[in-house]
Formats: sequence, C-alpha cells, structure tokens
Amino acid sequence: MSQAPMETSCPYYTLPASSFWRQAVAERNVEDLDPHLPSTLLFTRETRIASAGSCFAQHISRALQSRGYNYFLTEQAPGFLTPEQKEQHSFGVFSARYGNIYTTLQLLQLARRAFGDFEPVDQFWTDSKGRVFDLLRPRIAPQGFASMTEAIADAKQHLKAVRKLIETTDVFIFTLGLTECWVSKADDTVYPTCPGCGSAGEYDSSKYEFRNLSVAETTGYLCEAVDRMVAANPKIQIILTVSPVPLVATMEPRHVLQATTYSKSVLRVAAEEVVRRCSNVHYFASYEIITGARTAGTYIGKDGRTITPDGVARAMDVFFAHFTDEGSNLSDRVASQAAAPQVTSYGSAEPRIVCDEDDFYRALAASRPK
Amino acid sequence: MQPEVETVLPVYIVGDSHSLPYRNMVFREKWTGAWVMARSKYIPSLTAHDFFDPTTGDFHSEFIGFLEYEGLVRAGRATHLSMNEVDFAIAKAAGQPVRPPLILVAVGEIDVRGPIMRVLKNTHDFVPPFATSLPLLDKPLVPWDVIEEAIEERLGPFVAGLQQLIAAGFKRIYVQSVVPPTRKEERIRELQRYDCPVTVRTKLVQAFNWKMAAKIRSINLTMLDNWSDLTDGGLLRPEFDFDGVHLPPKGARIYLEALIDDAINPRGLVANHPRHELYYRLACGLDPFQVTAPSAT
Repeated sequence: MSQAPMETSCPYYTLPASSFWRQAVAERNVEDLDPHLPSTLLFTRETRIASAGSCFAQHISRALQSRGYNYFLTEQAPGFLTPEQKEQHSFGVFSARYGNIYTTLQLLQLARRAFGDFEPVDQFWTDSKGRVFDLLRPRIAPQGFASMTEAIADAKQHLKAVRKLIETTDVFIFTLGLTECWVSKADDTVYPTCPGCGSAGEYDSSKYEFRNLSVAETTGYLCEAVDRMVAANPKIQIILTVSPVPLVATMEPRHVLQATTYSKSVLRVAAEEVVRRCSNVHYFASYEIITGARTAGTYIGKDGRTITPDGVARAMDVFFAHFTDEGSNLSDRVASQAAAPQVTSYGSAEPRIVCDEDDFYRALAASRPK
Repeated sequence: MQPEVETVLPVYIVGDSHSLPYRNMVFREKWTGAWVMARSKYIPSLTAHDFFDPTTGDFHSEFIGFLEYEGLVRAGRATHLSMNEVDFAIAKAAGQPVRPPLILVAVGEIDVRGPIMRVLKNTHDFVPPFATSLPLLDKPLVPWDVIEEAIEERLGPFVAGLQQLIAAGFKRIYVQSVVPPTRKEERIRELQRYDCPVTVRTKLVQAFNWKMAAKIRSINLTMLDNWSDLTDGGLLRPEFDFDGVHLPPKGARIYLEALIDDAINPRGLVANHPRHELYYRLACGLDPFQVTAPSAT
C-alpha cells in the first residue's frame, strides 16, 4: 500500500497565512500587523456599546465616542456642565461612573451590587475635613462628597445606572487589567486601589489584605460576571481584551517584571477560557498588538510601560477594522496618521487617562524620604 | 401753634423685580413708633452676577444712579461721610440721617432660575450639605460641588460689590434672601420652558440662600431670611404666592420689619438721627447721640 503524498495528509497545509509566524508576523510591516481573524461580531453606529476596565479601557471609550459610535452612557452628565467639570466628576469616562475596574472580582462585585446581591461593609471613608469618599470609586468625586447622605445617594443612583447598562446594552467591552488587588478582611470587598495609598482611605492591615488572584479565581469571577450579565440581558455581546500596560508596582516578593508577566498571563488565559466557554464573548487582541515581539519597540515608550499614541491609535484602528465596517478604510487611516503622527486617530493629541495606579506611584514617590 | 413734624426712617430698597412689592410701603415701626418708608428702585433683570464687575470696579449703572438720585452718593462719595458744606446743606434740607443709610438689596432669584436651575431641570436632583425637610427624588444626582461652584460663580461679583460699598461707608446694607419659589409647576414651565420639580427648585433656592448667608455674614452684613414665615412643609405658602414669582406686599412687609428689628433694636434706638440735628448738637458741644426725650403734650 502506497503512502499518500504529504501535501494531503499534513493538516498545516490547509491553514491560512495568519497561522504562520513568517507570513503573519516576520514578513509584515509593523504598522500592518493585525493578530485577528475575521470577527463574528460586527456592530454599527446604532449599536449600543458600553465599556469598563482598567486605564487602557479609557482609550476604547474615547475612541468610540470620538468616532461617532453609540457609546452607551447610563449615567449622563447634567446639562450645561463644562467639559472640565464632566471630566473632573468622571462623566463619560466610562458608560457609568464606576471608575477603573482592574480585576475580574471587581467586575463581578459591581454586577452583584447592581442587582442588590452584595452590600460592602466598608465602602465609605470620611477625611479630616468631613468629605466623604467612596472607596470603590475613589476618584469619582475629586474632593469627596459633601456629606455621607450625598455619597450614599450617589452610589444608589450609580448602581441603578449600572443595572440599566447591563440590562440594555448591546455590546459590553471589558479590559482586564490586574490580578493583584486589595480586599476587605470583613467581606472580601475588593477595592480598585489599596485604601490610603495615593487615594482615599486609610491603610489598616487589620482591615485590608493583599491578594493576587490565580488563574482559577480570575477565570471563575469573570465567568460568573458574564453569566450574571447574560442572565440579565441574553442578547448581550461581550468583548474582552487585556490591557498591555505593565504593573506600576507589585506587592508580591518578586521582581515587578515577573509579577507583570504572571498577571498578564493569567488575564490572557482567563479571557481565553471565557471566550471558549461562551459563544457571545469575543476577544480583542490589544495586548498582542502592543506587546508583540515585532511591535513593542514602536508602541511602548522608553520606560517600557507607557503606550505611545501610535500604539493606542493602531490598537483602536484594528479594533474598529474588525468589529465594524471601518475595515475598508484602515489603510487610508494609517496613511493619515503618518502625516500627523502626534495626533491620535480620535482627535486629541494627548488625551488625559485617569489612572489610579499612576496616582499611587506619584504619591509613593512623594512620600518617600529623600 | 406750630404743626408737628415727624421724622421718617427711609429704607432704600434696590434690586430685581423682588424690590417691587416694597413700592410706596409706609408703616410705623414698633420700637419708637416712627414712620418707616420704603424708597425702592426696580432694576430690570438685575442679577447677583451683574451687580458689580470686579475686573473694572464698576457697579451696575442703575444701582449707582439710584444712590445718586436718593442723595446717598454725590461726586462718587458717600454723602453721609462728607464734610463738604454742600452735603451738609443737602442733609439739613432732606433730613438725611447721619448714620449709614439702611439699604436692602434684592438679587439672586434670576441667578437661581437661570443658569443654575437649568443644570437640574426635570432630570436630576441633588443633596445639599444641610438638613432639609424636602425629599430626595429617585433621579440621578448633580454633585453638590457642581451646584456650589455654580452658586459661587454667581455670588462672587455680588459679594465683591458689597465689600466695595462697605469700604465706601455703607455699612448698614441688608440682603434679601431669595424667596421660596412657587408650587405651580405650570408657571415654571411657562417661565423656563422646561420642568423642574417644586422640591428640587425649592431646595436649590435654599442652597443659594445658605451659601449667600454665609458670604454675607463673613463680611459683617446681614441677610434677611424669613423662610419659615413664608413656607409650610418646606414649600411656599399659597397666600404668599403673588404671581408665581414674587411675594405680595404683605410678604415684603415681613422682610422689611425684620430689617427694622435688626437695625433698631440691638443698636440702642439710634437708627435715624437727622444729620443736621447732629451737626447742630456738635456745634453746641452736646452729645450728638443723646436721645432726646419726647416732649410732653
């Protein structure tokens, strides 16, 4: 019996060019590199799109708004506020005023709170001037709330807006940012930052503890969050992406580079697990676009952490190319960026990104003895 | 027999249309039985924000015009402090008081109803930092800091203007609080072309008054706030709703009596010595502030 020719028996011969490093990566220009296959999800300018996540997620919300998509805001700014006032009070930064959501546990607890299934024991903190801060959204009110009554009432309205968002949005984009987090010893409430470290609150080791979520925890919390959202809104489509921004600091007793690799690996695996399990969950490869071996030198700044405007613009262009009908215009957009490299594709030369981590780092640097 | 001539205590009332209910108001005050007369000036559309321009140092032209017309300011100076013979002659002829004149300023309602209330409309509510009996509606909130910033922005020029007036010698200025708004929703819709629930707009007026009172107090002036007399359950009592915006004269009278009570009672009944009399007493070497005992009839 004769052996069949290798061409017909080896399954790799049936694969597209995107499956091979040489054709898909090595032989492509950096600015053309696109680590996606055609998406099964396409949205239009009428589709309601909500988003949440870490600092990097703000690029997505800004891009959606500036490109004229229906960025779904369920916590609207009052009329006649100036753009500065809107930004100060975090209106329009995300679909609701939840601030940055770094961990999957934070996302899950937000969803549980929105549906009345979880009420944190330790949520509000009053400073020496009597201003009240919501530790779950420490930057929402820049000077704090004027009273506890206002803080509680605002949180109630906020959760109502989150519930509306979950129940009625068509698409929800979530950017996974961190695995390291701080939780309350009383009830496992997770905070976006360590209380008292560069933000509101007072650090108290008897009340708060550090936790670095495992793959199983990160995936489990994400699955539960997705399940809750789908239960409330069966038509919802969810896009997951992993922030390419490295950790600003780690609490683990090891090098921050190792800690970053661990954290991003866990997040990437968790996203993959959930995409495999749920047909209405999709993945956007912002992490790969920015940190890929061929692109990192172009899209990451000299500090090895800051994403350059070109990197952000490229990630956003790829995002819109795959999830909308903008794909046909992508090459034109790339050309126009080359002509004006200082300006990102969504209008602002240096959009201000609200990042709790950076504030923490600045506060830490300022408080260290010289 | 020489006919008896009674002195009259004038109160100069100037402001937006809320100065109108005082027009031609005359009554006897309860402390000395003297006549009180309101001399009012309505300046259309006057706001707290437009009362004074801190960048140029100019007051609203009609406000200065009123002070000049009433003889309270001449040649850019407060006449009650002037040592000019002409001013003495005018004071003698007019019976002008030696003390700083009583002035009541009514502004703020347009500031609240215009640029501040539109932030709330029918879509939002807010939580003030003081206790209020008014309920919090189940609506998204405008942060108090945003409301406060808007109020500060409107009050800043007004307070700066008052400070200028104090520096010029007008130390007996009173400020009328913004009156509680109407309960009638249709009237607000007619005025504003949008809705704003009565509890929200009333709370907003409370908030404006709360901020204004603190600022007025900080410069040693007095804000007249007769909120409890005018409201029931936190809202304007219907009998004080004249036309959906203003108080009727009986409401204005409450404010004016409060002013007189403050001006006369704690200050030893020396509210209105005629200046020419003071000048005469000084010339005779007498105590100018010795209250003359009423002559027996």
